[in-house]
Amino acid sequence: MASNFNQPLQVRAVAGWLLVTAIALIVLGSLARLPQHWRLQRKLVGKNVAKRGVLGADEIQNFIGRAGHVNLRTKLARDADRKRTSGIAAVWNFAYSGAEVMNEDARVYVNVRQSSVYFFTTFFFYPARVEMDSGGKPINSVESLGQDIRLLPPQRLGELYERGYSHVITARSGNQVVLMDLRPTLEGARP
Amino acid sequence: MLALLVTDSHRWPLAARAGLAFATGMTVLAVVLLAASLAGLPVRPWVGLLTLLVIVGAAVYFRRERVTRWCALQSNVAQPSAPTGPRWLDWILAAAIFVSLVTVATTALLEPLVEWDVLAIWAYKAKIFARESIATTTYLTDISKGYSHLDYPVLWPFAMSWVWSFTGITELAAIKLLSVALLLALISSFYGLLAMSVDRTTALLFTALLASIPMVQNLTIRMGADVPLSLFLMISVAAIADWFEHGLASRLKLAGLAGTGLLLTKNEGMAIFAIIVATTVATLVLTRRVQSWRPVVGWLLALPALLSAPWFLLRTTIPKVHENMAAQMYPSIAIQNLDRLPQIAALTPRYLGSYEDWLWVWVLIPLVLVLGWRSYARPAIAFLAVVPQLILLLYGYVYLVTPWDPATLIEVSLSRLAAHVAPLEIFLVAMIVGISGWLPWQNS
Repeated sequence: MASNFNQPLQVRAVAGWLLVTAIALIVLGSLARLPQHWRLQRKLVGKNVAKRGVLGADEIQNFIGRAGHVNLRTKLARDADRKRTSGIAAVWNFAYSGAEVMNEDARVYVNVRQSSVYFFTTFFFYPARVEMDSGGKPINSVESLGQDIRLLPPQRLGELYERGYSHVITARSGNQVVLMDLRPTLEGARP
Repeated sequence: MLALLVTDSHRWPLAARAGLAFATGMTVLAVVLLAASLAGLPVRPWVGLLTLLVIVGAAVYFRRERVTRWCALQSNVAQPSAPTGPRWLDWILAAAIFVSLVTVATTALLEPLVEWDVLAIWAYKAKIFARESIATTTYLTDISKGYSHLDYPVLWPFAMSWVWSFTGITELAAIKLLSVALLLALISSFYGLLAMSVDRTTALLFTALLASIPMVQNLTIRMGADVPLSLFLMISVAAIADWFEHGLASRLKLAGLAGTGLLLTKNEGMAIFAIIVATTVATLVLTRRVQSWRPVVGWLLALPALLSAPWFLLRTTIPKVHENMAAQMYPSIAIQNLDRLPQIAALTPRYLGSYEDWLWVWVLIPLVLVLGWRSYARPAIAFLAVVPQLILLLYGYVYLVTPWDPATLIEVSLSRLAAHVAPLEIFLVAMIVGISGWLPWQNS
């Protein structure tokens, strides 16, 4: 009788410990993933903000940038043998470096059709003003505007200074994005 | 703020007081900074400090007794009478939480602001508000900056902006102190609110579970507005559930202030807030407590409406340059897109079941929700259970009606949206387990 009476309680206790074990396994699983934080921290520590930012923005090297993006992780794992560089990290570095030489009253014309360049430089260069010519259309993503984003040919970049711009972001050969100062030098020459 | 609002906050665990003070303080700070900005004043350190001084002064003047008890820290804390687990288990769980928090906080502080969305949206607004006032800036009508979602709410940008008002807007590392504070607030609020209803070991067990979730850790490190939203959601719903359980009107004050935080953090906050209010009203009707409508209207509707009104009035003047989701919500569009259902149903487990992001949390949650069906007889638990599931249903519906390709949208948003409700779901699971007496020490 006594064992029959205790049986539901025993079953319940076993089920309770099973639940505790399941949660403990999840917690242990999380603790087992902390070394990836420690490895990242070892890479970040002792570096300046620019280098930490490049590493932080690099979704290939930094697991945090891949969080929640299952397809991206699958793609990166599939192409693991291919040497890849992070476009976002490159743009973060470009915008951060540019901000260090940017004046507050600068006015920058973006002459490349790339959302990340426009978005990042707008943030990093602020309060300097960063602009694109979208023909008055709202810019939600640069790529989606396609040909509505007007780009100037290289030979006409000089016109921008007369239009009030102090800098231009443009692409050189090999699609390398560069920031050019349009203001006349002391000798009166302009790039 | 807590001492002013809540009659018995001095009896709450220290963790609850610390976490909730951060959340309520951030809401009040945003409301004040928004009002100042509308009046032509950019964000300045003294505005926040003066607000703090006024609140402390008001608390000391009007609620001196509560403040004195508040400062006594642990001495007045009410403890649930339920038996606790073995002491060694408490220590192991506390150590696991501590190691997780220190590790995640260290990563957060070492990594400067880098996340695309944060730079393009929240931090960009924060920089602007630190230098220009809303009254003078042209930003909010500049459609060439439409990508930064001109009409996104301002609580999180104002919080960042206030930190930048001390350090300067070019500082990209010290601003991450805010993400550490947010992480601590989330974990301590969760533990504190739970420890008011269940025993210490159960509260620690589920706090360790929440602190373990990689997706929550990573989102907090990156400083988007998703984790602040989940903090406000958890506080608001837990406070209302406690009101259903114990009837203390001051819980509704806390819920109303957290609801204001929801409305001012993300646009999704409006839909979430509507779900909270509708579920509260439905619970009142179903439990025949309609006579309690006054505090609900006063604290849960009027207070958030009043505090967030300046933002919503301002929002009407901001050009809308993105797709109008409200116009997409018609059932006719959902019916047209019913063929998407198999795709959404197939993709959802792929993301929520991702071990790398969620471990097995989204396996555990539905399991306990089903096994704990008896607990729904209690209105507080039923309320806690309905709100997050309605929010998940709403998010699922959005994938059905969105003009975007659902697979692409799910890749960039599903895990973030699930993180909105994850702390609340775990809170619910902990309450079900706690009151059902499933854990071994609860039967001793």
